Amino acid sequence: MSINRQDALADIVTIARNNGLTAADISAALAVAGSSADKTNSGSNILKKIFGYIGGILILSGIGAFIGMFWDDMGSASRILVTLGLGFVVFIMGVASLNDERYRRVATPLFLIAAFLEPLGLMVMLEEFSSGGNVTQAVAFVSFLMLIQQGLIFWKTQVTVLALTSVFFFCAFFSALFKLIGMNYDFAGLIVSISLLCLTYRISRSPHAAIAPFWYFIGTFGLMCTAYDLLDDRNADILFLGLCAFTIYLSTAVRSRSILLIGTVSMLWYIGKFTAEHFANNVGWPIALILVGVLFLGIGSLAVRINNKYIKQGG
Amino acid sequence: MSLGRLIKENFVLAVGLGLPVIMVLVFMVSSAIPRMMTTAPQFSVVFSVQSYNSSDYNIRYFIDKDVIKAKIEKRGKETTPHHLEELYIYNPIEKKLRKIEFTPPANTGHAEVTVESVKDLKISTKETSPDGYQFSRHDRNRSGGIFFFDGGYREGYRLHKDAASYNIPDSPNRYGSNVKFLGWVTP
Repeated sequence: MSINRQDALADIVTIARNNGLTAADISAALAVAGSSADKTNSGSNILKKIFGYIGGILILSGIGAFIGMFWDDMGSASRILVTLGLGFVVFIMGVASLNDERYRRVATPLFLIAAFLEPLGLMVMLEEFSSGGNVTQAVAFVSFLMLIQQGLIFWKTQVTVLALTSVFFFCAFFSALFKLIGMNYDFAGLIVSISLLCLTYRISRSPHAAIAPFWYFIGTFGLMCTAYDLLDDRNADILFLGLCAFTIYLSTAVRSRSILLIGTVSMLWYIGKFTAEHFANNVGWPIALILVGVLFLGIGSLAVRINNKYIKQGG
Repeated sequence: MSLGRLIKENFVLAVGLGLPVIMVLVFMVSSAIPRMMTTAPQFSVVFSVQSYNSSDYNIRYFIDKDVIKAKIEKRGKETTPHHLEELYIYNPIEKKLRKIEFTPPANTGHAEVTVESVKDLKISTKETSPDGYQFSRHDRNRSGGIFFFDGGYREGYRLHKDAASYNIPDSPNRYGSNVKFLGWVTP
């Protein structure tokens, strides 16, 4: 059996264990997936979904534009009602839809809309009724409330989209808190990034693994940006190359394509920058460009090999 | 299940949730200890911030014989470079930042005048205040701001003495490299 097939089976075992699936469940799913009826329906289902999404976007845009047109004429209560009130109602609808199998799939867009409207409404409420303070305090307060709400309902219902929003409000809350206490932004960003990567690692080993690639991407991007600035400020930017190498190693350990992508792009960017700064004037720009090109080809090819050998089927 | 075992079994999750909390505590303690060992700043600081508002005058503030003065230039075609400063006094005891309003006297061309509203203040231009504090810029904050709702780029100012540091609130124009230290309000 080839290494790829063994890897694929290992992944299937991990996913099955995480989701409590039995061999019978998998066989049944394979049988359904292989049936011709399913293949026939899949095309029309996709089309239905696309039109559904477009319709939803248009309705939301229309409501947004309508509220925007009359915003200045609204009183405080009306403003709060159309943002926080609407958001909370949508959130309740999302929770209610989880109890009925027919509407379960509506829960995700409802929770996403609520996660947008509720904090917006809370900010509007603070703007209308609070006195003193500053926007950072407001963001910390709103993020904390949202984190509690989303986290508790996620804990109770185990809906993946709530894991996504909980992680978002977790990051927002701590970012605001770090700003409030006067911590250096780069250092604060580094802590939030590392924390985010740890949370995402746990998520990737759970039934909510679908959101892991997104958060791995954000976390690694934040880590690389902040680490570079911190190192550059201390004239130790060469260590960034080591961090890039570590990130690529990390991508194989946690089997994440997102981390591999950011690690590889960061390494290529740094090599390009380093070459331009230190070699362009010594050996001539054309030769430096050729050197960088060769390195890009080598690292790019290495990244593809790492992906195929260690990560494929992963996040 | 004991807490220790729970943490051991979910170590990465515990690090993810606990790291920011621990860092908040560490940062607060490490900021509080030097402040407890040093007397808080007692002297108000005077500084100017370059404004980009439009004006018929160029105004620069400076200290002359312990008094705050303004150098006024009526802007005409020959004085194209625009330079308008706003004057601020920060009182660290009340933790209040006050903008000093100043309007050039009517029919002023080029002149150096005392800022009337603060003419009674005696200003020391020494770099260090009588109680040992200095006015300085924060560390640079750069891309850490990808996690911050305001873009993150910020160059605030502070009063510091050894490891003790007190932030000065941002002026409406925000601080950048456009801040000029003028002096300390002394008795």
